[in-house]
Amino acid sequence: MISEQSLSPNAVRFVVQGNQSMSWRANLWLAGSLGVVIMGIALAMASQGLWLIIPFAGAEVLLVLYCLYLTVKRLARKEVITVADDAVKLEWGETQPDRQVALPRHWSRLKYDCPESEFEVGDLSVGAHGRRYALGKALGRDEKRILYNKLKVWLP
Amino acid sequence: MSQVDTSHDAHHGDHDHHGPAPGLMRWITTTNHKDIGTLYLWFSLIMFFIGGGMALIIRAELWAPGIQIVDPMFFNSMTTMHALVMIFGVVMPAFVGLANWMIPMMLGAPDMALPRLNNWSFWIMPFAFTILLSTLFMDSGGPAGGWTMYPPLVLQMGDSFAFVVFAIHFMGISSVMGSINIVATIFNMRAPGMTLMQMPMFVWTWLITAFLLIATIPVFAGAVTMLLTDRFFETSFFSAAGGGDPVMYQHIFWFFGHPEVYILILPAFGIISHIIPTFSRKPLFGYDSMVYATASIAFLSFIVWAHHMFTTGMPLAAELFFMFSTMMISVPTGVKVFNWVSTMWRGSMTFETPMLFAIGFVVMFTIGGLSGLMLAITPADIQYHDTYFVVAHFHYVLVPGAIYSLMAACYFWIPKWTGNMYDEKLGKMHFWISTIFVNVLFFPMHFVGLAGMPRRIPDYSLQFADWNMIATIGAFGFGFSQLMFVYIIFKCIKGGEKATGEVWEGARGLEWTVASPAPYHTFEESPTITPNTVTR
Repeated sequence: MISEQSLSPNAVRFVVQGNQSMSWRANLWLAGSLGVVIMGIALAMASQGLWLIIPFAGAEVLLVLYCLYLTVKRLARKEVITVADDAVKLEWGETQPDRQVALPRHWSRLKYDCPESEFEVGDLSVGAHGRRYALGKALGRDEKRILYNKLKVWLP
Repeated sequence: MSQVDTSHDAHHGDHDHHGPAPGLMRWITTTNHKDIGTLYLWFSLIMFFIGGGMALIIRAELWAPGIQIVDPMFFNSMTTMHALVMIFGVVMPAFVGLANWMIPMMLGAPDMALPRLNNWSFWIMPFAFTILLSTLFMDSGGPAGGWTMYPPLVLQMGDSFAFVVFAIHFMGISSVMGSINIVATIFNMRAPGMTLMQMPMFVWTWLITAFLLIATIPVFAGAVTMLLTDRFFETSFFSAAGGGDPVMYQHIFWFFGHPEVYILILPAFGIISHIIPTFSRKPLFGYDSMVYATASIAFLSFIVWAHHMFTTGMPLAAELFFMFSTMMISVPTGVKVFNWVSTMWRGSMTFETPMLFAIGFVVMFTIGGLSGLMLAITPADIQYHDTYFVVAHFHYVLVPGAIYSLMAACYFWIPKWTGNMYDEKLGKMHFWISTIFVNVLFFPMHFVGLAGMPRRIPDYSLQFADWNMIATIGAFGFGFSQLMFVYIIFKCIKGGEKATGEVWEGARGLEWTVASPAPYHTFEESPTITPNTVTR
């Protein structure tokens, strides 16, 4: 998904993010419910002397929780591209940016390579002074082209 | 020359945006859901012929009374291995393969939620089955106590038992990782606007199947580990001599084993719920009730396990409880059959190969379901227990049931996978030959079972000879007719009439909105779903 926000007549911000259909809180409820069922079964069995089920059940509950956490973490990741008066600012992170890069706007150049094969998603990047940064994480062929066309208006 | 910084977020995430890697490494390192789905499907097809070969050895031995071809121990290994291979190596991986291929496309998601985990889930399987099958070549032989591995019989097995348990643990790990991935994908990666009640039935049935797997696999893992410690570490979980209880094993095995039966059939219900509406050119009748029926079946599957153990002796109240709870399963199952028939009612039906297999499924699964209802009746079950009637029952549910749904799914979705239409004439021929032989194979088992022929015995009384001979003819006919299926698949992959994106006139759902063959990456741009979007 690409969302566009106009900051001033000469500045714009694009937020690029994958789709996420369930919140972290709902995921916690899901993991908790599964945990209650799985551990409930294991404890019931253990009460009959079959305690060796507990470590397997416990390991599985932890795996469920970790996998859901990993999924939500990945899906919550954003890429923010801000084209300001004199700089192109790139930020990556979840709720807060954990990595930022600033490039001089007038030296920044977009590059987009998209081969004909439908297997290829294409490479979109922005660069200046010999450094380039890939853009459009979580975007497919069509959406990456849309992002390229939007950015082209602001960057040469 | 400048260099692109692809570190951290500049990198493209887990899946390869640059198309498949060349050669063998594509398949080993792939994290693409379509590639992994393909791997699962090929794996299950190979295992189908391995497990089928074992079935033919069993039927060849049973061609006539007396010991004919193999020694009794090997015969028992074949019955055990045939079950383990068919359940864990064919039906389950095939459904996981279909889930991998179709669920992201049906949800409008770019891939599974955890692509690397997906790769591991698959690649554990060949190792697990190599270990399992290698026990046949060990000094102490393969497992021969039946797939249920009841103690104390199974504890008499040699050292290769440890390898069997090891293999089962690997299969369990693979299943759990696959299930968690499916749950994470369905809940987190639905297209914007797609509600749970807008999800296709195949997605719903898989979601519920994944919950069943997650709930039951630790029980099975614990059970086989306790067998292992009883066998090698002198514990007494199931040894009466040490204060344990062998019947307790049966309880926990079937606490896993009965939901497992539904793990093998719920995704089949989902597939049939796509095919029948497509070829009836009508929406599925009673979608909501189908979802609730699936959930009800899943819930009931946890409270019926002891119907497998009526002959162990249990209090009358328990017998009554398990008898009636088992019978209750026929209610939601009946809802499903009613809805499929109602979907066909006054539909503009055509009978392409997937539809033939789907109708074959409905008819013959119902036969298997009805014999299951007979087995639910406690006093009757005490007579039928461990006879060929039980073998007939579960084979009707699993072969013209689960396997037919897989065949139907392959014919239904292969144009989407390959971009080519399969040979319709050969497909129909495959259906009719299979259907004739599958009934020749399994229907006589009802007769010999009711007459008292015990299962898992290489020799039998003379009065069962004729029906066994007929069943063996059916087995070889059915087995060899599946070579036709392989030929049709290869022919379709190589070429054929080009398929459109929609493929079938009555097809509904997001997976039919992408081109055929489906591009390597689909729905990287999420489609937006409104309440009026047809997603199921």
